[in-house]
Amino acid sequence: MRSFFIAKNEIQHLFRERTFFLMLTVFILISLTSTYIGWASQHTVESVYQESVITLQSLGKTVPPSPFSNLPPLEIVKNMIIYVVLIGSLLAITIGHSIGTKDQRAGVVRILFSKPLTKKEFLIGKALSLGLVLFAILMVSLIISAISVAILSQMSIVLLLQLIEFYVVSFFYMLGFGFLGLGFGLMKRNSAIALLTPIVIWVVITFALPEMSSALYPTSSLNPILPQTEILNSPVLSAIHNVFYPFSVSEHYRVLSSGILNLQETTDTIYSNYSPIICAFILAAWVIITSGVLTYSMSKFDISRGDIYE
Amino acid sequence: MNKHFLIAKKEFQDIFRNRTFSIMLGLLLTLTVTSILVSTLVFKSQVTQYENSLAVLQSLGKMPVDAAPKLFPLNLLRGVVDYLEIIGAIIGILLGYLSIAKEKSTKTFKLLLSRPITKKDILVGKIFGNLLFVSLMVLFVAAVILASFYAIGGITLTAVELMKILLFVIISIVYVMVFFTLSFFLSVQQKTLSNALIICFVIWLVFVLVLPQIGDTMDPDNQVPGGFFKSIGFDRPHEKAVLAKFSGYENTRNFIEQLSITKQYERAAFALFGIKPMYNEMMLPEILVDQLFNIISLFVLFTIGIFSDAYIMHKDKQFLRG
Repeated sequence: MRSFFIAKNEIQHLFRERTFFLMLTVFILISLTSTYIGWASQHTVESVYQESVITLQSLGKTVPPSPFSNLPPLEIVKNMIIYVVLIGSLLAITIGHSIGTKDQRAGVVRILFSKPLTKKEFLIGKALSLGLVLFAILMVSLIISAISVAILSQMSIVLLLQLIEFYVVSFFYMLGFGFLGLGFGLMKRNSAIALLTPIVIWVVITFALPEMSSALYPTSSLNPILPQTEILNSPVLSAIHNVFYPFSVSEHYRVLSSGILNLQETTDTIYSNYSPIICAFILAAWVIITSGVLTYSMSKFDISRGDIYE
Repeated sequence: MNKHFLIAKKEFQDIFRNRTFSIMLGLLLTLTVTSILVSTLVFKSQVTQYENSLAVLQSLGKMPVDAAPKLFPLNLLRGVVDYLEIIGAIIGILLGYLSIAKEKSTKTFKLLLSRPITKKDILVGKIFGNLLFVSLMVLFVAAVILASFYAIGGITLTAVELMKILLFVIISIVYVMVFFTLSFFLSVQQKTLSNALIICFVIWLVFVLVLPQIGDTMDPDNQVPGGFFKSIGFDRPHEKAVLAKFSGYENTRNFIEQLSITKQYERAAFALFGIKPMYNEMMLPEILVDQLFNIISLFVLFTIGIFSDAYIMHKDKQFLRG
């Protein structure tokens, strides 16, 4: 019960913070625009293809089939995968950090623990508030995506279920980053380091691991259509791939999400991706490991601690 | 001048004492080496595959249609540019943040100003100290690039290529310093320091990652792995002729990309390194003329940043309250 009070208090406090609203606004805006961007790009490239066909026919060349025919209806939300990897994860880190450092910033840790409150209840309350806030944000995003798809493409029960499934997977991916933000917020005595450490982990997971495991350039991996990155027959690159690929959580999240949304193959890497079941298993391991970090940080949390250093 | 130098020296020493910078710098250098290693291995692999195909063709008495892969060493630096775009900007934000945070948390501004030191002296000293650190950091990255080239690929660079790396160093310093001035401004202006840091990261996210990503997503050629026009056998003139009919869409896409300082930096750096093949055929002065707008934009943003910092230091009273 006390955990619920803590969670309620955390949520109320979060909604009073301007920086939270700033990140939330960016995420919601991007949810709104991503479907439109996807739709506009899809329509324009189809028109570009039609123009190219005219040129090819005038040159007497063979006209290849349109690479954009038979696109799945949820193709227009493919950008959301990238925005969850980019903005969603950072939003989760920021929320986790804010929840983790709030009591220390206010200097009320000792007062809180002078009441009959255990560390476990404290941690459950914080983690619960994090989960609930992320859930609410993704619910809003799901509603926006569903309405946008219904207006710009088509909607059915099956498509809606696919969208829900995608947002459930996104929730767990973001939750892992939220746990890191919360864990380091509780563990570190310096606010900047507490925020930076999970951001460094985020940089490694989002940019460095895909480059090492699949030879993807850091910013190319943000593109919904990945460039040709054949690792070819290099034994050294194969070895690097074999070592790093299992840990490349962002790639597994992308593979799993693309599968759920029935998107077309988006990369030409020579290695086949893991099956969705293995990707889901790795994603589950990601949440378990980050919750382990959170539990460890709580065990190290000093309840006689004063305020946090800025 | 002496006061400026003293403040700059103190700033420089503080940065070196900070563990956060060691972590970020270590990360940047590790990723630089990794990126060059991966690019070199990919290139070597392409050459091997070409040679194998050539041997098969020759055994069949045929001639190859494709030209052999040609190595432009600077092409291997694409990943380095990407990492400087992302991590360099984070380092710039941290420098600006910590430069103010340490004074606010220890309440030393009042003490400083009780001496014969003006706000202008503090600003000049801090900018100079951080500029020196950023310059050394980027030069160090350049040295790591040269060492990696030599160690991994046995590559030595020509005078023109070295000149291009020097120009890249200059624009990289300016790029990182733009984020320093932004973070410095917000750290002075915001009441809570962690708020300043989060706002900076939101701005970083939008300008460094989201806007370029939207631009790339809208690129018609970017819809098929390997390029749409290549997939249907179009050459550059045909591609241009078709895209000319979609000038409104292309202009919007270009406008979105130009809003991002990162894209301006990336375009200039990619041109210098010949990552877009057309620049490999161009002379250095031609590349500079072609990229003049992007390069000037970086310097203009840096200048605006310095004036904004001077303005906020002069106006803001929070700053003195500590």
